[in-house]
Amino acid sequence: MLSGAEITYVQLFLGALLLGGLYALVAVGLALIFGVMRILNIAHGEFIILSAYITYWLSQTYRLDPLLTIILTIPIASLVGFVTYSAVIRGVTKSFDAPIVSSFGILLILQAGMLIAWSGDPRSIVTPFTADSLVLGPYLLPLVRLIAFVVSVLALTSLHVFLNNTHLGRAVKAVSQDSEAASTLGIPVSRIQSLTFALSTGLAGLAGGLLSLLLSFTPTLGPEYLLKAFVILALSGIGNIPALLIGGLVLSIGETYGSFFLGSGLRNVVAYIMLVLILLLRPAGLFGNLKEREV
Amino acid sequence: MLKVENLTVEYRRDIEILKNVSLIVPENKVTAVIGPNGAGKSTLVKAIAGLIKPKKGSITLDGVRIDGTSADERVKQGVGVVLQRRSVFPQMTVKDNLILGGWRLRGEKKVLEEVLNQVLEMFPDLKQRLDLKAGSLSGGLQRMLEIARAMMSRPKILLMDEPSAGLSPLMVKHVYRQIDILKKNQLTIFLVDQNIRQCMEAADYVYVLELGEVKGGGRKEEISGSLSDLIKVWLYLEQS
Repeated sequence: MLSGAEITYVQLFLGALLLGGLYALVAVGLALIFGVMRILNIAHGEFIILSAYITYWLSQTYRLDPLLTIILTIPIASLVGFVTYSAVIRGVTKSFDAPIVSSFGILLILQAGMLIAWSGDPRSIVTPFTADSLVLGPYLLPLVRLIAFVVSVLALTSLHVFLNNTHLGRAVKAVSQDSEAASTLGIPVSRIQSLTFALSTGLAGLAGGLLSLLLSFTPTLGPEYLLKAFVILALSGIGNIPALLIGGLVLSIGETYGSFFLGSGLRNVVAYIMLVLILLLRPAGLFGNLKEREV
Repeated sequence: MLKVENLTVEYRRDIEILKNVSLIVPENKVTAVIGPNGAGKSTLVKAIAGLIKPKKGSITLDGVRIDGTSADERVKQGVGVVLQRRSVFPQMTVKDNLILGGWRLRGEKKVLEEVLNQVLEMFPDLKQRLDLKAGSLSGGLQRMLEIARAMMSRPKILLMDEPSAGLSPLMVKHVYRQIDILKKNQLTIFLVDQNIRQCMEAADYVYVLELGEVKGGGRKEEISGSLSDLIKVWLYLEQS
């Protein structure tokens, strides 16, 4: 017979496990852009939060099913990403620093825009199944988290298959490994980079949409998700999607137990500590070899 | 036929790496450009490949001007390239590298498979290693893979920049044997190499490039006078 404390620990573990899939999805877009273009998109977290607001706005305005609005959010986020890349970032990609500064500018503009449009009050989406859970013996699996986990894992698996088994996916990988060599094979590097940015923000769209079902959000929450993405990339490297999933799980488990024992206010501190420890003790990540990182 | 006319390339303003370079690469022949380090040989290859934008001059392939197009468009126009540096995609398999070489045939699955089989016939060493990661191959085999990958686009002309760079003497022979096979398959090859002896043996036409200028050139057997003496000196220096 399990004690109450043991049940609590296992329950926390299950909750963290389900959140880990979404965390991996949060990180994968950042990894794609960095891998293919060597651009550190500081505004990645804002794209996620903007997508949460788009999902929120669509579901509130048109009274649409929240899961359906997520499907609509993905192409909208992709389009916003593509336009942003074409207008602000593409022209400065030859330098490493300039895109960082540009994306910081995008971060500020998106934050200000969201504050104007939706104010700083926390928002969340309540669905007919928000309070539902799957009962497994003494444990509860919240349905929304379960859906977010399954959708995230499916999205990551599809991306893995796309990158490894299609001509376009192989081209994305080729550009990430050696863009000059890719261009000498006829691969349109510039178009592949635009597509990658749109794909990355589309994934941010999915992550933001799922996030809006799970947690409350405000316009200034982007950097928090950027930090989570950094921690996961430090854990997993940027080249390996299954490793990203494990990285997401490790972070969510660390955060969940950390906030349980230290208080929920210190949730982000746990992430910071994890980042510092990884960089100090295993700079190549949990799985890796610094030289072998790729998309 | 590839025709380069009055090609001038500068890296920074007023520093000209190539000065009014003109040469002709006849169809189905091997044309070599030889010259010392810093002569501008690799810059010439990169300019023809579309990786460097020339300041002035023209490049035509079979009568069509190609100098205004990007590197990827040039592949569609029939230019294949083997870069001087290692350029395989190390994390991808040999087969994936080859399939990427056939990027412009990606919509024609059957044709792509046919071309892959033809290329593997020419490069049997790769046939047994299709599922290995390209980065795990030896330097020589990586070079073979780069050549085979460039052949996947069915180029009209293959540009090869220092194919023997960084290879053991045995592998250099192997690479040049492969170049001979390509030559017998009626491929037009534009070759740049510091290995002057091998280069001269493989070439039908030779140009001498020094300090960014073409000092002369033409059919190998017809090179005479001071140019011939210069080549003899380089060959002597290479041997000693």
